[in-house]
Amino acid sequence: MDEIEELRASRARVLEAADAERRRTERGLHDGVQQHLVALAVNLQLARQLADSDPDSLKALLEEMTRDVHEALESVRALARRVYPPLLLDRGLADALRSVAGEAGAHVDVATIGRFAPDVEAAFYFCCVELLRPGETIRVWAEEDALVFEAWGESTAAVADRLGALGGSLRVEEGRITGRVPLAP
Amino acid sequence: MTLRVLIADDQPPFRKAVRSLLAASDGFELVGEATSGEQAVTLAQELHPDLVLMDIKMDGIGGIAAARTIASTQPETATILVSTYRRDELPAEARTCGAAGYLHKAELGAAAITRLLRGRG
Repeated sequence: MDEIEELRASRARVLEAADAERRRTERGLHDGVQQHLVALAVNLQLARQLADSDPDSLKALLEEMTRDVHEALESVRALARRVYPPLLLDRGLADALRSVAGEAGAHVDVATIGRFAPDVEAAFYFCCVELLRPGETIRVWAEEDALVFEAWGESTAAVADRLGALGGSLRVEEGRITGRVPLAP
Repeated sequence: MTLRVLIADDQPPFRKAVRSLLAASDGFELVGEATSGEQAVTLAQELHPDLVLMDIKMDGIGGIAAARTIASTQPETATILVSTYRRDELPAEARTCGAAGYLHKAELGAAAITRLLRGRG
């Protein structure tokens, strides 16, 4: 495949991945937050009924509704984190990667690295997330002109596309995946 | 008269809330729960409920096709479609599938069900 065709294919994959992510987000909203809010709305109707007829049951229902509110909040938090992790925005790559790796049962070996342009941080973060495997370690470091990660296993087209979109590079050698994101275009 | 109700919805939080609502409301008896359109049709044939509260968006044939089947094979069973769609967002088939009416899930209550069924006549 020549370079132009590869570029076209890569763009098509980027669009496809973005659409798939939007569908996942819609599904997450429908199956998560919305369902808890719907249950709360139905329970509010019930609470109105019980206020007059059965105050004792109303207390139990209010406790259940409190739990529903907490579950709804947790759904929102989980969804927001998937769309764009607040930690990445607030505290940068190192903390965001440590957090997501911990949740996935993986490890990230990352020294203190500074802050970078939002598109660089986001692309780098989502590449690393894509490559996290339970029990495995991703090594992350900053060089003078690039952010670099090293992981083990199989890479994906999504990783290559993200890196390619920012002028980065991906090398896979005997299971070792090395990705570079340039710090300046 | 007690209304025998079947719930068809693939979302556990909603089924649980409706279960509590019906248990606390006079005149309703929950007779079964389905999690797909296909299961709703099967349970409706087995249990002969007076009313099916049918979610529109479910995997498989979905709520509208299930409502159509129930309306054609068991006209004595009323189906009320439920969802979180606004009325103007409802699929056109929702009006032609033989359902007794539509309720937004957030408006679901004993009074709203009774009102809708009474309107049906």
